[in-house]
Amino acid sequence: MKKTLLFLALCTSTASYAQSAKFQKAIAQNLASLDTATTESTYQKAGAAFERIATAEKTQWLPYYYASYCAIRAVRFEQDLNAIDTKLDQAELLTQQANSLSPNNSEIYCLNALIAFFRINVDFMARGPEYSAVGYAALQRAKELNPNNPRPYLLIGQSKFSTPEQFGGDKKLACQYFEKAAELFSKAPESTLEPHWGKADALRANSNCQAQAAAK
Amino acid sequence: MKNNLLIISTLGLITIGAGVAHGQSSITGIVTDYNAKPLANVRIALDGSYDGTVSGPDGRFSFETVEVGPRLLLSTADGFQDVIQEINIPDSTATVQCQIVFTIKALALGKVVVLAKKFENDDKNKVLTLNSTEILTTAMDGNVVSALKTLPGAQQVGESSGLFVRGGTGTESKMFMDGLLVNNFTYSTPANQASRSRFAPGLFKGAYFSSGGYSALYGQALSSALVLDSEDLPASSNADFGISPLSIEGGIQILSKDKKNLTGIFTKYTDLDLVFSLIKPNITFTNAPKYLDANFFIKRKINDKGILKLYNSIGRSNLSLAQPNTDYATLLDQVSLRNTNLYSNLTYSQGLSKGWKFYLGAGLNYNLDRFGLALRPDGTKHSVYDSLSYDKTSLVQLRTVLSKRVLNNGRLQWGAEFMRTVEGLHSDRTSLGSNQDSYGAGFVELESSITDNLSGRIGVRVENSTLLHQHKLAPRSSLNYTFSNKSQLLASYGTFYQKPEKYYLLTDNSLQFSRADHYILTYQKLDNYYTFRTELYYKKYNGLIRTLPQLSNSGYGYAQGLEVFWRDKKTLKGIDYWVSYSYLDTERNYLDYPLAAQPSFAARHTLSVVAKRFFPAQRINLSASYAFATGRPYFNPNQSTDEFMADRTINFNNLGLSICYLPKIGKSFSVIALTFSNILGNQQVFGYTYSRLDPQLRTPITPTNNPFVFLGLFMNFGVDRTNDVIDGRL
Repeated sequence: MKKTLLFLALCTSTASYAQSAKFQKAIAQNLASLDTATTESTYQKAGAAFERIATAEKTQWLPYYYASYCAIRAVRFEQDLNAIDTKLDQAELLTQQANSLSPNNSEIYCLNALIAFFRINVDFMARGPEYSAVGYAALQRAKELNPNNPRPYLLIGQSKFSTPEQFGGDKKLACQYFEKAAELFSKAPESTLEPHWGKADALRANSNCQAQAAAK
Repeated sequence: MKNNLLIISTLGLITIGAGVAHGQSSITGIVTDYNAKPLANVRIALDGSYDGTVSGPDGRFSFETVEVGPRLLLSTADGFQDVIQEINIPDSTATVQCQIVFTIKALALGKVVVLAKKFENDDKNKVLTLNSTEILTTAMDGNVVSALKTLPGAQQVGESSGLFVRGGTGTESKMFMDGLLVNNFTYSTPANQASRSRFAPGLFKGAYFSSGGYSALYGQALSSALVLDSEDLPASSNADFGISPLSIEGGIQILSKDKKNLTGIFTKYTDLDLVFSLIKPNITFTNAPKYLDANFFIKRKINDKGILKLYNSIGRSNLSLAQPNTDYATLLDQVSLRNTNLYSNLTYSQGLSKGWKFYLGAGLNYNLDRFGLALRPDGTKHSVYDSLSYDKTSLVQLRTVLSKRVLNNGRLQWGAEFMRTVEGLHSDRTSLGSNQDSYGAGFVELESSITDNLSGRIGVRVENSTLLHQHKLAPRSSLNYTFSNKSQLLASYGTFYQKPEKYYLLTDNSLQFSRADHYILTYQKLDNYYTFRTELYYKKYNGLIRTLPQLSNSGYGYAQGLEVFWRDKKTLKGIDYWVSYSYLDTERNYLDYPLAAQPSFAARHTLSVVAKRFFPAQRINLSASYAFATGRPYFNPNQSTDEFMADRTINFNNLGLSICYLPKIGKSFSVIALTFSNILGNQQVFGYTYSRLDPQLRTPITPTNNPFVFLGLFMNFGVDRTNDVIDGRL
């Protein structure tokens, strides 16, 4: 048993060593296009590339994660309410695969929350309560799993900010979350292959909050 | 095994080496569908490598690779089945041309169905559904049943509380909460009056209203099943408070820190005294209706996919009224009604691995109606006749269902239920005694796709009643064809049995099950903007209760009709509206009917229109509903037998309006609701009661209040701020 484990460990380490250069280069390349993406098709292209890496690698959660992230971002451009769910289903499938490769990953819980929040857009009145609960639960878990991850704070802030007050929104509370997110982002290591999106959003939101507080 | 793994990792090294050492070959081509129309946004990948691309708007694609030799090219396009083709890359400088053609349309995206959220092939996909917000904003009176009356198939019957569906009586529709039967879904009423549901719409996630051909999982309802699923755990603890001239209500539900346990209570007291002193009802209440309800519930999340729910409600009501006796003009009927109701249900459902799921439920129902009748000569204080009767029902039920995902996104469900009923009718003058019945049922149902476009469901239910000494086999089946534009054609058939009403069973316990057979053809197209649905049905009744010449099961009847439902959330910006139309042709020969005739609860044409609009800036939700029904038959003893039920009441018109304002009150979610029913003051007559002694005298049956206005404030506070406080400290 011990031998097998040792062997397996050896195998995976050689495998990852063997792949690392190519893998990292491919991720880095596609991340560069993801980080600068502004249109639906660039997100889709990057997403497809990540999905190819994921399928080829089979054991890496990161390309699945990014493929899902790209799919979610692309949904923002979707105007047809009938198409949103199908696209989110595809994104959810990718996060499920990422999750099976890397369980209890704070970043993957953030994607689950994003998917839930996007589902609300299809039918605000009918889906609001159900899916915002799902989203917040995922973000709560994301915070617990990695208290230094700024993204759960950013997402909670964004949701609290954009939701009307009668439905649980709270701009003041949102600002506190933005501040915390900005603080965590400033401590986070600079651009790596690991998830790093959201910094600009958090800083912008935080400075808007500060400006408003100062105006008062 | 060891060797294999080693080879793989070495291969990886070689490939990278190759990539560095040699140039790259390119793979180019075009993607089209079978009509040679270019397909954009198709994902193309060289299997096992990172290489690939996405096709452009003209369907063209091109990418480079270091791979050499025979390889698989995998293409994925939305709405089509994946295309896998073999290509050969001769050397590392070659340009490989290839054409990718998508031929097979994928209807249910195989991958997506795995998530099984919205594609389940069960009743919920086949029936019209309303979620709790829709029920709240549709029903002007917060009554679940009123909201359902805006859907096709339901009659606008205002003199009784039940749901009258497709030529069926109110007692032919049964309500199920989390799988368990709910007797006395609405408050008890004296004859010819309607009341509302005991259950607040907010208790439920959604209502699935099947107007026929429903699943083998449910039974003992000849016409329809209303399946209500209770809410799961809320996101946080909260408290409710509501006040209106009619009622005052309040409740609190506390969610544990780990968000896995919920305990809640809710109480409501309704008293129509104040309202009736402001808006005079058509009936003289000596004691306006008063209802007191208390609910206690526990919900508990077990593991990942399991939930335990306990719901208890206890209710009391009383009212009394005085109305002229139809037979003796100088006498006043003094009617009093006191009710005690208890309902308890405990359910546990648990999802297991490999597509297994089990459900266990137990329920307890107790209902006691105390009817008092006193006849008092007008102007005197002493009655000349008094009677008090007790109508008592108790029910204990157990239910279990096992389900397993099988075959092509299919599902097999089987289970059993058992109900022990004790029903009695006693009065201080005559007593019918009481009956005990043990009813048992077993059911099995298989749903599966047959081909890509065709799916089916087949089920059977075996029912046995010890009181009736009878067992019955009730088959149910349906076949569903999906067209390429995602519209569906559905054919269903089902046999349904129901025990006769308590009163008849107490009189003669040799009675048997009544039977209805449903044949339904449905065409529907649903998406997030529009719902179009039309149904053609034929329903055959056998073994209905007849009271003439003697009590027997010799009644029969039929109902056939056409229904259309159209809902549109897109065309008129910001407005969600729906229109239901039902055409109903029905006759039955039952009870004391001398011949087969259109019954008094059936209108030939029924139309209902609902429109809603939310104004976010003003925080106002406006909703209007209009219901129309052609006149219904009523029995006129002055007519000859040939003319039995030939008279018709005036047409029914009802325009309702509701304005909901969501004010900013602290951190609460508040609603101020102002609703008007029958705002135009149209005269509504549901039928007539004739004097037996002088058939020239008759009293119209009308709504208690017409028109009616309601104003209320409802608030919900998220009590548990601990989460935000913790987050506040961050």
